[in-house]
Amino acid sequence: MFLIKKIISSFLTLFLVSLISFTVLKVIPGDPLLSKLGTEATEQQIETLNKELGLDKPKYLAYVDWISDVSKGDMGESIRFSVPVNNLIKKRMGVTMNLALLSMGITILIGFPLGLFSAMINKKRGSDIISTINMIGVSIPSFWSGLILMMIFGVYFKVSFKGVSLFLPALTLALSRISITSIYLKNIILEELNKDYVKAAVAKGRNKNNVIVTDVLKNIMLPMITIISGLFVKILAGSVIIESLFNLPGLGNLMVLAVENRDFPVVQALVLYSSIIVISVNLFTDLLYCYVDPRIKIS
Amino acid sequence: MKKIKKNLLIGVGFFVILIIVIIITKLFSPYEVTQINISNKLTSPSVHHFFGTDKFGRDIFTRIMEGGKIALYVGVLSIFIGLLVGCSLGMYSGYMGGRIDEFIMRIIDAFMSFPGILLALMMITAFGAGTANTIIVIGIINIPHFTRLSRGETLKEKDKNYTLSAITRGAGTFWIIKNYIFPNIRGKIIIATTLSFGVSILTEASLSYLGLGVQAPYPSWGSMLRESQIYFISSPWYALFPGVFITLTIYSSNLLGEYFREKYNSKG
Amino acid sequence: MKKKIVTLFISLFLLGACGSEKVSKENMVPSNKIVVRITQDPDFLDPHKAVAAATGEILFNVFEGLIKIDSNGDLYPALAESYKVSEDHLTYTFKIRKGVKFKNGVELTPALVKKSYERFLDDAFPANRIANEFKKISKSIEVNGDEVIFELKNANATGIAAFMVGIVYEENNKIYGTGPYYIDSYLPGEKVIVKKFNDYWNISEVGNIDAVEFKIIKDDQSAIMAFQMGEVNIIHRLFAGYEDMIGKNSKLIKGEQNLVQLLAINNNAEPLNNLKVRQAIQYAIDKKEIIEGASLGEASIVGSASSPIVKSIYNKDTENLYLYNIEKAKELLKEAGYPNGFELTLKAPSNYQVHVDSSQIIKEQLAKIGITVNIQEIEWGTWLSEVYKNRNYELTVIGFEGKPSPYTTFSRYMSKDKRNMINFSNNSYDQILRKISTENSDDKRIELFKEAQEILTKNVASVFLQAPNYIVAINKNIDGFKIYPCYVLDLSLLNLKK
Repeated sequence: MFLIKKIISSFLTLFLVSLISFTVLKVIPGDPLLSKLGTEATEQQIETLNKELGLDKPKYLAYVDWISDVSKGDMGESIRFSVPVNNLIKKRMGVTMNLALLSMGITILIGFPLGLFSAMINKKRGSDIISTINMIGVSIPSFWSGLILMMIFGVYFKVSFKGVSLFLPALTLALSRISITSIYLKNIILEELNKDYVKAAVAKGRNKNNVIVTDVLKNIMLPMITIISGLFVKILAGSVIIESLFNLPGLGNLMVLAVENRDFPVVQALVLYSSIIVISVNLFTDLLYCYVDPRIKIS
Repeated sequence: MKKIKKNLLIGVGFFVILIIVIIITKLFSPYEVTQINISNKLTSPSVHHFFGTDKFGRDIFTRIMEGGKIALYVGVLSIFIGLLVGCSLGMYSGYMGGRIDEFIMRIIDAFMSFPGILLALMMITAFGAGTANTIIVIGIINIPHFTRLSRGETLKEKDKNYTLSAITRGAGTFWIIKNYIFPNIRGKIIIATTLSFGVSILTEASLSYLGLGVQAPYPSWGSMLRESQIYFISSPWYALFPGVFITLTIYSSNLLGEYFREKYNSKG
Repeated sequence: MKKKIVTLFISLFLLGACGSEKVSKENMVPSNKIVVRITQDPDFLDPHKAVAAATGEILFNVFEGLIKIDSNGDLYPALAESYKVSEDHLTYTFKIRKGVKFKNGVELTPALVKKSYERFLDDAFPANRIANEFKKISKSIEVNGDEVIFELKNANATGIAAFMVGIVYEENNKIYGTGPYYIDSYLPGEKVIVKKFNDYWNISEVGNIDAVEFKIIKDDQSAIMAFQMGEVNIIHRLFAGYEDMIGKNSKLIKGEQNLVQLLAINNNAEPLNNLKVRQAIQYAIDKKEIIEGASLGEASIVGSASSPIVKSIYNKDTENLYLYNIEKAKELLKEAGYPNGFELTLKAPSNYQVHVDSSQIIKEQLAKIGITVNIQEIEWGTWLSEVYKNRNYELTVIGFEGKPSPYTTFSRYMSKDKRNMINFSNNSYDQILRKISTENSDDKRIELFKEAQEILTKNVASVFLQAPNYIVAINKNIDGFKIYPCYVLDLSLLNLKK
């Protein structure tokens, strides 16, 4: 019952999202045809294309048409590029997913051990330094660190190995999330340390760090999953700037292009898909929690 | 305790020093913010120009300080919007409960499932770029966070005994909010404010970096970064300072956030 | 447990890395391929629809017309073997060349030439300006043996240049051209790939480049980095600021460009509708400072709406009609009734760095005569609808591309022209342009164009600032690059040295 309720509310949210994006976009000054054709178009071109693309219909009609198309899976055609939106998205999805996965891999590979380590040495000598480094890491804007990395690896040391075109952006994106991820993990572990079983184990004489590694980690699988799902969403969002900075042909870059070109069909499709991803990820996390710990259903 | 006080010191200290330098620069700088002197372009830091000059020969130090003023201005105002609207909405929603609560939270959820930069992008393109719109847009992005926060706290307080007894005694909604709910939220809100301040600064810098925030020739740290990209190799100081200042400002906000978190929270 | 976690994340890492490997494999380079950077997507890969000059640069290699242009700006018969023009300039007879093939193997015939023209003469077809102007004057097209005969309604202002329109063969919603290269693929937002057409009728004149990737890189900074890393071999329209960054393996080729940047003045907006005010503004503008600051010296001053590269009609005298003079500017402002100046808003398109930079310099210059300019940077889409379409502005800075036919460049400023964003309205000007469109004598036409330029400048329709230079950064091992006096990127001239 709870499951069904959750799914329905997700759909409702999705519907709202599409409505909001549609409304906002239709308010935007500037029309997509003008963006495509520029200052040299003839009136006849604008007229015939307007009709062809159905841009002269009243807004509510257009919205209804769009919804009915979408439910069939037809996201329409990009006004700027004259190709089906789904094709555009399909071609670019790989790049963004690869970027996201690589970034997540790097973030987790570095961030988790870092978080674990800082939890272990909490309140001891080195922990201040790590906290400070993390704090600074969280504060550096990604487009700045990306620039610096580009200069270091692109110009000063001319690095070239397989996949370098994806590695640099992934590293930049990862750098912006590593600090916060390690902070989250550290906090979770520290909270867990307050629990009874840990206190009992330590009282019995076991080494605290040993307890962390063998018992605590097992028990925080769920919060870790929350961290990972949150990480995924934040990295997808970060891809907008990173893809623009590194000129990667991914979905983030497509979004910026589409907004600049007033390419409604593309923007709406991207907004819808990204919302679906975010909502699904949240739903999945919620469900996982319920599955593991039935007590949570009540809240 | 000392470590925590250190956060407060550095955090507040940075802002105080920044504001003082901004004011001094405004009063005493020999250079105008937009004053062009092409023959003097791209000179490295010197006694005449602490941070060097940019591609139009403008004094970078003066522009950084003006950028600081703009960043603080945008940050404070947008937080204000987020705070005011967000908390009112959240407390109202939590207190009223039922259908109204569902409806409001549904919309808030919808906004939160948008990555912030996407929302900002769309709204800026709809309403136009510029400082005023940037403040509004970032304010709107800040609202959901404060709404969730205050709603959560309101829900907790709503069912407490003293609240219920106050209601039976005939106390008005506003009175209850002011005297029971608000004092308990205060700490969390302050924490959220400092952290959101950092996010607002970053969002403003990102928007200006993309060319959609504060417009030329007014200097935003983000747009200065964008301008300086071309010259990164030949004139590295040009891109160095905006980035450093953005980082320091966000860092200081986070430090303050840490301080308040320790102060108002036992668990963190 | 920890081991499992670590394994999971390492596999995530590798997954991402492998994914990127796939991407790089797709880019395996065949022999003799070069990469040319372009700044935006083509609008239509169709010569009858394409609007942007940049698109035309690509299409020049794919579609050919009866007449083509060479690197000196001279016109010569291409798909036509020869042609005759009647005395009254109303009948053009073209003898169609034999042995020309379209990309799909179909042979070019006079009937197909006629069909190609009729394609865009159809009312339901969204034809671009060049095609449209032809539509206005075309009376009939007849085929006679190996000739095609065009009858025109009235004399043609563009002359033989009108027949540069590309000839296409359409089948199943795909179009094919006769040019030395064909469009192999188009990935929106990424690249257009053209490959050599080995059955091209003039294949002996084509260089050794087998494939060209037009890589779309919006941002100049990224383009330079790609160039430095060898991912891009040619950047044309390089911004002067990057000249020192191209590296030792590359050279720079410079020339003039058929592009005019202007400080556009809305002639209908108060107080800009006052001629004295506009004159004052013109006197206060120091074009040299703008060229230094915004184009780093790489530009020519222009006096009017045409670039000096169009040598035949360029009126050099217009450059001296309003020489920089602050005192005169202040005087005129006083005479116009604004001794204390006033405020104006300048809406600059944020995506064109050169216009944004010029705006900032103009702001400082006008401040000297008491005019406070508030610069609003707006992004392109908004600029197009607000400033260009709705003409809701006071000042803006923009560049207009010159067309092969100067008439198209100048007709923009006729009172009723839909592109007349500056709201310029002058009866003598309209009259002259009308005369040009029906004038047969080349000499007379040149005189009229020069007169038109004088009227534009004298009346300060706008302040015409500069024609930025055309700068090309190109790898040293690519020979043969020639700059054309119009928007053409001729790939057939290029040779890759090994």
